Amino acid sequence: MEILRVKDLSFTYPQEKCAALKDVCFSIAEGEFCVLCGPSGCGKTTLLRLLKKELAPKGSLRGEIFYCGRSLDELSEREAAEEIGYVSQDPEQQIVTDRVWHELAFGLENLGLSRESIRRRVGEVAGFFGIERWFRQETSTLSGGQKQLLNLASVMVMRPRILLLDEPTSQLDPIAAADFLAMLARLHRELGLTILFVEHRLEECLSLCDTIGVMSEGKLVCMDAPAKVGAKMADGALPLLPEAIRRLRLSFPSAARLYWSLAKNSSASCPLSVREGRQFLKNICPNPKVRTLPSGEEIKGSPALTLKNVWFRYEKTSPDILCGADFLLQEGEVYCLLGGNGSGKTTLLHVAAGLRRAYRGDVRIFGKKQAAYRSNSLYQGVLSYLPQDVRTIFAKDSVREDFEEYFNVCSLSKKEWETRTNDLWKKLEIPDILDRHPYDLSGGEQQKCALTKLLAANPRILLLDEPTKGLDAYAKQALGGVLQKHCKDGASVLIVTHDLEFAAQFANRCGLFFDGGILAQAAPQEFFGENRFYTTSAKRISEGLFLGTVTCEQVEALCRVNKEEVV
Amino acid sequence: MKALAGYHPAVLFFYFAAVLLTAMFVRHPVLLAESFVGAILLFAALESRKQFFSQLLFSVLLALAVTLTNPLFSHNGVTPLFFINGNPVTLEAVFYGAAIGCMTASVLLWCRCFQILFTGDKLMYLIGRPLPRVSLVFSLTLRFVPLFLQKRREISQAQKAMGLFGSGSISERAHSLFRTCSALFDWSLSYAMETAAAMKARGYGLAHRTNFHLYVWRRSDSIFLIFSGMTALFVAISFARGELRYAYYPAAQRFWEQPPLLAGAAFLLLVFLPSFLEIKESLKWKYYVSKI
Repeated sequence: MEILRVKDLSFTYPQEKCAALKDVCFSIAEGEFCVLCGPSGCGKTTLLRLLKKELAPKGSLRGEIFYCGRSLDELSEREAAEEIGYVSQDPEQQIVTDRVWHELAFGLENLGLSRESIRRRVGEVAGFFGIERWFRQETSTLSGGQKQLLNLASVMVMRPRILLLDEPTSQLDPIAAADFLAMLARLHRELGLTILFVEHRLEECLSLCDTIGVMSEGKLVCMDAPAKVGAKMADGALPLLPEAIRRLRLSFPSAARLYWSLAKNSSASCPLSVREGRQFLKNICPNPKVRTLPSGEEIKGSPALTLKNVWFRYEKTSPDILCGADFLLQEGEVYCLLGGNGSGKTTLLHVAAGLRRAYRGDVRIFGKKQAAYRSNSLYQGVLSYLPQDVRTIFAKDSVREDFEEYFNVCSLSKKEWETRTNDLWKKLEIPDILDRHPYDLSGGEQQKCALTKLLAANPRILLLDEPTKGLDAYAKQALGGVLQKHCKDGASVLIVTHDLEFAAQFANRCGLFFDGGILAQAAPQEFFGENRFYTTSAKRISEGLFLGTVTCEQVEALCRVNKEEVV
Repeated sequence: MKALAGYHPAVLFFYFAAVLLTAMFVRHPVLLAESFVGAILLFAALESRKQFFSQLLFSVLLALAVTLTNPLFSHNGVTPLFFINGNPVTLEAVFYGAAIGCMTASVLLWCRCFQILFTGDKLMYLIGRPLPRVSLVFSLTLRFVPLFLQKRREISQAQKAMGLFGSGSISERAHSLFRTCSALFDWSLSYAMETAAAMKARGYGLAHRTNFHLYVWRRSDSIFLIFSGMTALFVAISFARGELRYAYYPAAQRFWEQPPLLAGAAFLLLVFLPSFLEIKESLKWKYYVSKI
C-alpha cells in the first residue's frame, strides 16, 4: 500500500528567484526504507520539511502531497502530529524537557493520553531503545548519541506510521552513528516501519535501505533500488552534466566509486558494501604485480606548536584528561588527530590554544612559551581556533559586521579582506552571504563562513575541531584542498576529527589520541595501512591485495599500474 | 536508595510541614529537645559520615553561641548565677538561650533533610498538580539553563581565541561581556525557535493535554500519612488547649510537674518515625547482605 505520494511538487522560498524544488514526483510504499541523498543545498531538507505539516517552510508551493490517499492539508492536527514522526539534525535542539522520562512522555501528554497508558507506552519504548539505565537522568547529562537516540525514542513513543529523518547522524561520532543506524534498521525490520531518511553519507546506510532517491539542484533525478541506482550512475543514463554526476558520486560508498572509475564496460553489477567491493577488486585485478605505491614526501618543517609532558585535569579531584601528552606540529603540515569520543582531543586543542592552562608541562608556539604571548598577541595572526559549534565565533547581526570587526583587529584593510574572502568563497562554493545573519545560514554555510573568517586572516597555526561535521562529500574535498593550499604557503593545521576518509586523504600525518596521550602517529598510508578495524573503507576493500592503499584514488592508481603491466 | 526518598512527594511534604511548623512555633523545652534529637538522628541516617559530622559541629556551635549570647543581653529571671559589670547572668536567660539555640539548630537540620529528600522533580510534581503549565515552563527552564551556561562558556572561549576578548581595562572587559551577551541572545532566540518547532512537531498545542508523572501512591504512603497525620493532630490539639504554653521568665516553669504527656508522646513518635524507617531499612539490608 502506498503511504506517501508526492505529485509534481515545486517550491520556492519567498524572495528567492530560483525554485528550491522542481517537479518532484515519487511515492513510498508502506514498510519501505528510503534514503534521499544529494549534495547540500539540493533541496532534500526542504522536501522533508514539506512532508511534516508543522515544520513546512513558508513559500509558494505547487503540486500535491498525499498521505494514505488523502491530501496532507486534510489531515487533522492530531493525526499529523501522531502519525508522521520527524527527527532532525541537531540532537540538542529537539529535546524539550529536563528529564529523560518526561521527554519520552511529552508527546503523549500533548495527545492527552491517560497516565496509565502513558506509563505503559513509555516503559515499553524505554525497554526497546535500551533507555532504562538513564531513564531518570537529566537530559543535559547525556552524550550526543544518547540524545539523538532519545529524540528517536520520544518520536517513536507516539507510534508514527512514517518516520522522517533529516541527517540524524551528521552531528554524531562514528560509533554513535552506527548505533543510531542499527536502531533504525531494527525499527524497520521488526516493526515494518516506513522510513524516509535524508543523508549525504551513504557509506553506512546504503546496505539498510530498500530504495534510494538521488537529488540534484532541486530535482529528484532517480529513485530506485540501490543496485539499480548504482548502475544508472555509471553509464550516464541520468540527464545530468558530468560535473553534477561527479559530485553525486562522491557521497557514494568507496566500493561503488571504485566500480565507476575502474569497471568500464563491465558486466558485473555495482558493488555497494565492502564485501562486494573486495569481490569486485579481486575480479578485475586478480594477481597484482605492483602492490605498493611510492610513499608521499615527508614534511620536515621547523616546530610550530610543541606540547611537552603536558598534564591537565578540569578539577583537583577529577581524573587527568591529558597525562604527560607530547605533541609536535610542524610548519607546513596538516595533522589529523583521531580518537574516541570524550577521550580528550578537544581538551588538547583547548590547551594548545591557550583557552585552558595545563597544570604541568610546557606549551610552546614557534619556540616561545605560550604564556609569553602577552594580551591578545597570540591570537593576532599567530594562532586561530575553530570550535565545534561554529556559531559561537559570530557575535554580530550580519556576516559583514562580524568580518569587519575581526579583520580590523587583525589589521587587514577592507580591500584586502574582501578579496581574500571572495577568493575563499569561490573555492568553497558559497554564494555571497555578507549581508545575512550568521544564524540564518544553513549548517554547511555556517561552517564554511566560519572557516573563511579564520583563514582570511592568514594565521600561521590553525586549530580546527571537527571541521567536516555536517559537510557533504564535495564540500569536504573543497575544504581539504583549501587547507592543503594554506599549508603549502607555510602555515600549519591541526584538525581534530572523526572523519577517517578525510584524514586519509588530506593529512600529512595522523595521530591517535588514547588514554591521555598520543599513542601512534604516522603518515596516513602507514597509519591506516597498519590498522585493521580503525581504518578507511578503501583500505578494507584492498586489504590483502595492496599494501598501504587508504583512499579510493590510491587503489585506482594501483589498479591502473597493474593493468598496464599486464598489457 | 534511602527509605524515605521512595515515599510520595505529597506525603513527604506534609510530614516536613508538620514537623517544621511545630519546631518553629512551639517553645516547650521537651518538644524542642525531641525535635533536636530527631533531626540529628535523621540527618545522620541521610548524610555521609563526613558531611554529618561537619554539619553537626556547626549546629552544636550555633546552639552554644545562642545559649551564651542570650544572657549577655537579657537580664530577666530570678536566679542570678554571677555578675558581669554589675549585670546579672541569670539561669533563666541561659536556659532560654539554650532553648532558642536548640530550636534554630534543629530547624536548620530539618531543612537540610528536607532538601536532601525533596528533590527538584518532586517539587515540580507538587506544583504541576494544580498548575500544569507552570510545571512545564519549569521543566523547559531547567532544560535550558545548563545548555545556556555551556554556550556562554563556549562563546567566551571562541571569542577569546579570536583575540576579541579584552582582559585589560574595565571598559575592555565590559565590552567583551557585552559581546558575549549579544551572541548568547542570538543563540537563545534561535534555540527558542527550534524548540518551539520541535514541540509543535510533537503535538504541543492540541486540546486536552494531560500531565504525566512517575509517582505512585502505595499502601505505605497511606500508612505514613495516617500515622503522621494522627500524631500531628494530637500535637495540634494539645497546642490549641494551651498545654504547650511555657514561661521561661521570670522563673522557668517546672515542666516535669505538669508534663504535656499527650503532645510530648505524639511528637516523639512523629520525629522519630523517619529515622526509625531509615534504620529499619539499613538493618534489613545488612541482614540480606549477610544472607547473600
